[in-house]
Amino acid sequence: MATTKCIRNTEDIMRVILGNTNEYHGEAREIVTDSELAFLPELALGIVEKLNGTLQFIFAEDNRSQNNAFSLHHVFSIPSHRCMLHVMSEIPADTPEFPSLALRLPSANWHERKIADMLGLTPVGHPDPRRLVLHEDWPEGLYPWRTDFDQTQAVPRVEGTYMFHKIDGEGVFEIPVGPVHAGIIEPGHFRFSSVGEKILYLELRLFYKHRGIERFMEGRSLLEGAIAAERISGDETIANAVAYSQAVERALGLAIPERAKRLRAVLLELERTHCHLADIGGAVTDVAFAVGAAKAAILREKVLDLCERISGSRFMRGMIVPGGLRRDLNNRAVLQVANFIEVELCAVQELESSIFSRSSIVDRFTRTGSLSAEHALKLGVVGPIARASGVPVDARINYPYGFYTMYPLGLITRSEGDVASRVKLKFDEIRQSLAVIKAALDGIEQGAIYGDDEATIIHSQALGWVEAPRGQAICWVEITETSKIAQCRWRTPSFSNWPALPLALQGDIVPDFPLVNKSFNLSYAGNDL
Amino acid sequence: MRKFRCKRICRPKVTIKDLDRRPPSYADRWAPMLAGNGCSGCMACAEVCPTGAIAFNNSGQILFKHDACIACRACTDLCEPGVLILGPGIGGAVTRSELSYVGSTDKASADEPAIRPLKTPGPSKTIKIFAKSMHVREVDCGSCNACELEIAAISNPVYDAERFGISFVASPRHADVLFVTGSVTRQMELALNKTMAATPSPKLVVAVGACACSGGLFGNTQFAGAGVDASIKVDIYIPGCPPSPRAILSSIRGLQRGTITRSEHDHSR
Repeated sequence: MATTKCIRNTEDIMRVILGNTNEYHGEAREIVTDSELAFLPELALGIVEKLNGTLQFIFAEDNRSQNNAFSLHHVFSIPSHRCMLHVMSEIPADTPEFPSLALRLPSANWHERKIADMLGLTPVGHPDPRRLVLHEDWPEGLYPWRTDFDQTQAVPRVEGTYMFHKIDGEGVFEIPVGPVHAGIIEPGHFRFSSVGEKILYLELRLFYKHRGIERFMEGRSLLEGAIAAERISGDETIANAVAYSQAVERALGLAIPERAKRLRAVLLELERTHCHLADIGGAVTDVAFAVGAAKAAILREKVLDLCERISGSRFMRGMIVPGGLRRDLNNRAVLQVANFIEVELCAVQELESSIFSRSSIVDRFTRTGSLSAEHALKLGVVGPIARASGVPVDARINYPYGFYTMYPLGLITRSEGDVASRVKLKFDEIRQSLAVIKAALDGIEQGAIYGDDEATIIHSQALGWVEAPRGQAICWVEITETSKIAQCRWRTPSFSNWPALPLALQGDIVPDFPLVNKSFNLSYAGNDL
Repeated sequence: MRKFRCKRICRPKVTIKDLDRRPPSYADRWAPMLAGNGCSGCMACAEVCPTGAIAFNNSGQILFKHDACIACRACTDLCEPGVLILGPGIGGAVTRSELSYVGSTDKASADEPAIRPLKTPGPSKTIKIFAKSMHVREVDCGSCNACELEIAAISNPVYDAERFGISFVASPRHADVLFVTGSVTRQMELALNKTMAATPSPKLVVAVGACACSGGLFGNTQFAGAGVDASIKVDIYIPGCPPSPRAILSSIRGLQRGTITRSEHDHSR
């Protein structure tokens, strides 16, 4: 993680990567480099085109009190070198703007708009300069992530309208949906432009649930940070807490004991199992297959019940902390999990065959909501959605951490990219998750669950990442000398995947929207933060 | 055959009989409580609590505000004498003050309960208007989605809320009861008010989860509000982070049977 001097092109990057020998306990590396704003567009394109890297995350912070500049961070992942490349550049305080990458790298779109909203930095050349996170009633010129923003002052509501994209033409009409939806789900606004039943265009308007979590984390203790991370998105409790904890552990150079690594993997995979079962149940509900939905709900309830028995919380809250685990699983709990896997595996097989043996379901699932590999790649889609479209991304394999450095996990992909392939992939992943749990418990030994190393701050900042049920979540943490969180930024899988939903829907009919949306299963809370 | 199936699907814990027998305050372990005497009054728990759900007053009493508690277990992990444990919390209540409990830090006499309600519920009018049929509209105003998942879970075959006449409807126009979760974010406040206006009277509002009851962990900022009752009047508070399906169901059952009473007030203003 050594910082090197300014990089200008891909040759510099290769030199940095090959010259970097910093290993972090056998896990994938984070390589931090400096660059300048002027080199960024060329650099980013070079990484994506020549090194087959992906733009994962762009964020910024207000450093004006220290060096009279904002700092801009670009995070690329380079799977061929198993590393995260973290490029930092400075934006002088008197010219608050930076070159936009969004036109050539569409995955930069939302990241840059979020930076513009929260810090008032203008992405020059951005094709869509509208607000993203802050809604129209937020006053102009107030930037909540700037250090001079007064957090005690009430923010007035101002008049304003959000300019939706207008699709004109004979017979084109708009269907506004939300923010309050018909089911028991989270709020978000969708605006369909359609001709008859065919969807021409779907525009998303999210961030109704913006709670200011990244701002909330500033100045909190490391334990409070873990508690907050658990509450970013309900069914990604463990995943987000592990991403945060790994970032802190990397910053502090903490090694966690092997028992904690194994148990973290168990908890992560249990979470993936119940999250995927909820998705499958939701998808079959939307094609009116009530029996399958009931079966999936019962299976999921069993997983949640197991989680409650072993951890005291159905969503396994209060388990993860930087350095290891907050509480151990006793032998009885380990045995319960091991026994559970065998039973669950049979039931999952049965559910899969009962779903895919019905032609009416297969008919609705096949070629609905197709997302091409090209689109998925360009938008930086992650997780099961990317894998169902044939894009081989899985943080557990590409950038391994914890137990996954010891366990050879096979990459599961499918090529069709439709609802059927996403549902089938989730079944495969449940089976894989149960196998991982089995392997993690097989060689488990008694021992410490919390590393009692002296925590010395070796880096003031680090990235942590995890393959959450919805895809790769990335957390960046900066730690103060007094072991508090200075800043924290999140890139959740939902933030990457939401922009792909309108593309998957093109050419489909409006009644297929719930089905496609459910097969994507994106978190609103995790996106809005 | 029928009996066998019922048993197989439904865990013995949540049969109808059990739910009715159980006091409405039942919830699975989620709130800190004093497990006996011996609290040294070191106040470490109050300092570590991220939501300010534990406080000490001048007369040496420890105050638990269950509306704000997120059961993060920071306090119980830290308690030096080990008397603070995570125990059965309380379920639904009609006012926020009824969600506050006090415990004595001194060596109190053995027959005095370790914790007791701060206020005994005042006289209130029992209503059972939706006792046999209750149509619920859920409105998410900024939760983490865990509360939604648990509310959705009460209508699954395991908890099967339909057997109590509780069903979820797609429009506020069809609803008797609004379940509101989340601290009411700045960007959801308007939508909540519109949903409230669209729901016909008589209606009840149920705040589900710590965020809805008090603002929770992320509340009381410019983006996240101080709970549902800062925007609209709330009839029932169900605390928890998230409250388990059992806790939600038993609270609603209490309302239906009139064991949770609510004071008379009018939403039609």
